[in-house]
Amino acid sequence: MLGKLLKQDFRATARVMLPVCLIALILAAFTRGCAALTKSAAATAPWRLQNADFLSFVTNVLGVLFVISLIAVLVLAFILMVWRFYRSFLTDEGYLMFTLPVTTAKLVLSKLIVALVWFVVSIAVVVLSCVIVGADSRVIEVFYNVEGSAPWSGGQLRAVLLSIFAFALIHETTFCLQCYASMAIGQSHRRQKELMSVVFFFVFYIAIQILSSIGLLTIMGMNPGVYVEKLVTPDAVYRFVQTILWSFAGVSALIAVIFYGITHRMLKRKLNLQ
Amino acid sequence: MAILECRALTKHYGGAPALDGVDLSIEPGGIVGLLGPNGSGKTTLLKLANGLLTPDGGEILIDGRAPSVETKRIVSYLPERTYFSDWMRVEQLLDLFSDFYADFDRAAAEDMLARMGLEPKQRIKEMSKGMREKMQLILVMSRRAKLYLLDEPIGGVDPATRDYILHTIISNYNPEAAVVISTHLIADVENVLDEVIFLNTGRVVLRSTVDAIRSEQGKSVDAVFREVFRCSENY
Repeated sequence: MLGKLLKQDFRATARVMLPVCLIALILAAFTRGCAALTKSAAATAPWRLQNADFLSFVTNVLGVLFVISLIAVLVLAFILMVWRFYRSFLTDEGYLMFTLPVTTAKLVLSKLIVALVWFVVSIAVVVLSCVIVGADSRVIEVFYNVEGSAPWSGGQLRAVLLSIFAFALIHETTFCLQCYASMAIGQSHRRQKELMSVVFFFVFYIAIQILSSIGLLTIMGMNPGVYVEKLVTPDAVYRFVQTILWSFAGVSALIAVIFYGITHRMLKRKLNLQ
Repeated sequence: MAILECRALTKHYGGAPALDGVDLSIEPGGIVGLLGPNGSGKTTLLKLANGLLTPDGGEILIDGRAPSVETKRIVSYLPERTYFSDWMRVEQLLDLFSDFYADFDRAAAEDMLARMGLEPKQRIKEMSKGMREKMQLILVMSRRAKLYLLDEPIGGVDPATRDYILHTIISNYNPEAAVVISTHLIADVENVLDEVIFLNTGRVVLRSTVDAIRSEQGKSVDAVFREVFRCSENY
């Protein structure tokens, strides 16, 4: 049944996300093409300044649109994550979703998996679009030479990049579940459901910030200055970065489990489709 | 064995009781009218049976079990509002029902939709409110369920549509199932009912077969309804 729920959720979200991702990639290609034409026109026929100026103007406009499209991809992935949960469970659509013969756990997991997939896709589209735009520029050189410029060995660098990706994914999962838990609690109230959802989101946010600060200070032995002074070798920095990333990932995963538990319990035991 | 059973079922909204210790059981094989004025607890009872609300006290059982995934497999529910996404097409809704309900008779649904003049590619947002309601009813009645819970199926529609809806209900429901129709429009539905349950301020105030009301009291259900609720201090 989870597969069938995923099919429905992907169908509902792809109709919005796919066109926006496609537009971002097309704009990237056009921006790249126009920039190359401008460069070529300026180099081969500098006396035809008007053409070069016009091309430069078009490139700038495309560049602005390109940046907007990248922001749209990232923002839409976030909005869809919240909107799909809200629409499916807390509006009239909830009458359909909660009368389907599937468990509450699968309903929540389906929304979470789809949100995470679109998060990864949106990041991939942004990276790919930047690669397209900067295909022969210094941006791509930096991208390729990052291994050489980093203070760590290739293995360490790959481990750090992998840790960053894992941390981002776990953090996104926690963030999704934080939104879901806030809405699940908000819907259980008789009135002002949306307002209560927002209130609980910020209550959770503040609680997480306090927890994170306590966690960071604990890792640093309550004396950040002394700890930072020890970071004199690349190996020490590497160990520090990995410790920080995986400690935060672990705490974030724990918080995600708590948020999932809240969401599941509220939708299963305190569902309030009045 | 009762297909729907309530034991001391209680539900409050804030301090006000929506259902106040309701005891009732409904056997399969008939059409039951759950009748009462607005705010009598009809919709709350049906939502509790579907697990859309949780009781504050007592219990509600479907085929001997509390509302769960298992009971949702055998209950076909028509809520008082349409629950489709506007962007969906007719065929996508048929896919959805086929995917999730093993008892969904897709051929029957397609046949009824075709008679309504709906194309498989037509989007929900292109349909009128009445068309959406009819479509939802067709999907719900195309299931071979054990229990149909229909909440105000004829509320807010014109007389011709009422006839269409009632005809769709009586010509499509599984005869071995129980059909519960919640409404306050008694005159329109009483000809299709076998039994009636009157609810008022969250309590069962009368339960009888339609034949008994007609033969023993010599009145229509609608006339009895008016009498019962005229006497009620809350009416």
